[in-house]
Amino acid sequence: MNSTSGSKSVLEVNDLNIHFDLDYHFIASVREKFIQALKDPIDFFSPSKDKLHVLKGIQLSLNHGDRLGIIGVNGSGKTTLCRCIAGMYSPSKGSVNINGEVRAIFDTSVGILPELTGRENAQLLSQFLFPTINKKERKAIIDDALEFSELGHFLDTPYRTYSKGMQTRLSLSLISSKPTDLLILDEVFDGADEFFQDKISKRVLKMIHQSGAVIFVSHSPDQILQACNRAIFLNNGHIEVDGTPEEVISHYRKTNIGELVK
Amino acid sequence: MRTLVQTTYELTRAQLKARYRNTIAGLVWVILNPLIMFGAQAIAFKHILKIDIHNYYLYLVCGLTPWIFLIMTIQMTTPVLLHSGSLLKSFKINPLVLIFSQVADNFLNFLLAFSIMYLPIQLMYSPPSWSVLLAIIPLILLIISVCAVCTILSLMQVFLRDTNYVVSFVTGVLFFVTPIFFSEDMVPETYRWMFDFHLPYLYIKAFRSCFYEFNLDFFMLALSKASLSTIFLVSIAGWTWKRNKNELYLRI
Repeated sequence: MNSTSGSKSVLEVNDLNIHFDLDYHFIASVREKFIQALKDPIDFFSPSKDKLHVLKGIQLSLNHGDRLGIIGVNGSGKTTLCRCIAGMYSPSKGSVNINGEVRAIFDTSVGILPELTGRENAQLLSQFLFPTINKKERKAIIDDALEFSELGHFLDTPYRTYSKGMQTRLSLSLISSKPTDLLILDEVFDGADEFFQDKISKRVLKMIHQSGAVIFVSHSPDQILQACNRAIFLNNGHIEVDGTPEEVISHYRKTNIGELVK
Repeated sequence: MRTLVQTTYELTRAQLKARYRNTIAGLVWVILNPLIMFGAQAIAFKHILKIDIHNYYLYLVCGLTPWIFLIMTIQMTTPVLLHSGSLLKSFKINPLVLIFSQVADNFLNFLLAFSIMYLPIQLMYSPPSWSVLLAIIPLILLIISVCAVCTILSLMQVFLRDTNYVVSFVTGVLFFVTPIFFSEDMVPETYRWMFDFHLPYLYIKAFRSCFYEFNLDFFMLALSKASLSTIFLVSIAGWTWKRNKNELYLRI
């Protein structure tokens, strides 16, 4: 199954493959490398032929209005696929074509300069997340996000003193303040406290609905059912099922129960 | 490209703000560090070892301050990608922004320290000549090359975690074989060709020639060598970056 909406194309992924050299004896030290080069120069200078195939022949297209949920067990390649679409990885083979602006968030509890205050970090984060907007628009986004975060006077204290929940509040409030052409959210709800979870979920869902197309990664089938109109089940680096969220989640559950029974 | 420049500018600004807020002595330290180094070396080499170089203080300050910039930037930037692992994995950020902003931050400190130290020393001997304006060309080459070297080393640090110790050791040794406190003429002619391959020195030589006994032919030759070195370093950095960009996210 491909796009459900049939309108303007936002993303085209063709035969996407990502692989890394598999180094069984990875040495992370100049000193050790030097010793190894002297001890066994043949082994040292012969490169490893083995590859770790993280993504295999991914074929995917998204149109405007598609809200794609990605589900899969740890190590199935969900984050690698998202990073590749976001442009963080270069494909080993195949291509990724995006029509418009992409915004990708993989963790919400990270400050850019922890010595600065929450307000200043929000300013800096907005620069990374929305690099093309003008000053006036940026100010409006930041003001709205800071108010939404309900962090009050903590906004003017150093970010390094924030709890994980406070960091998540600040990041999520900012991230969810502006829709984009292609939005990638990778397990972004982890870390928010239960009182804020409900409030931020509504805001993120609103932004998801306003964005062109969305890729939403979650371990929670309920969140996928709530936010998405299409889903894929990624297993061992390839798309095993592509369909409605209900179909895909049902397949995911059957597969995992089957694995557990084995 | 525009986004890269804009984001680098914003991050550099924020880093400067963070540094000067944390310590009131932040600004003083920027000047104090090269000033103490200069004072100690001026005493040791001019007054104790009696090195005979014309206008020695001027010669020393024009070589020592860019050297300190170069070494401090390399040492501070080498671990930057590794230390920013969680940030790089969280958002779509060009990792080069983190490297370039650190270089820009140090470059501003260098300009400030150099201006404060150079002017009184120059005025001790004579007023500055028009040739100081030419210094902008070697400075541009220097900043590009430092960005390239820092890209290579910060990538290396991700894969080989003791790279920063090796860098500290190598730069410590390099200082004693770089004509900063001594002159090229003091080295036997048989060995002088080696300075053509001493990459940090090529930039220092071109920069210093704008302030110290300016000669256009000498400057142009030094500039050509520095330009070739810049092309070489940028090519290596580009190749290394392209080759290791994917693995970077795996290792940080």
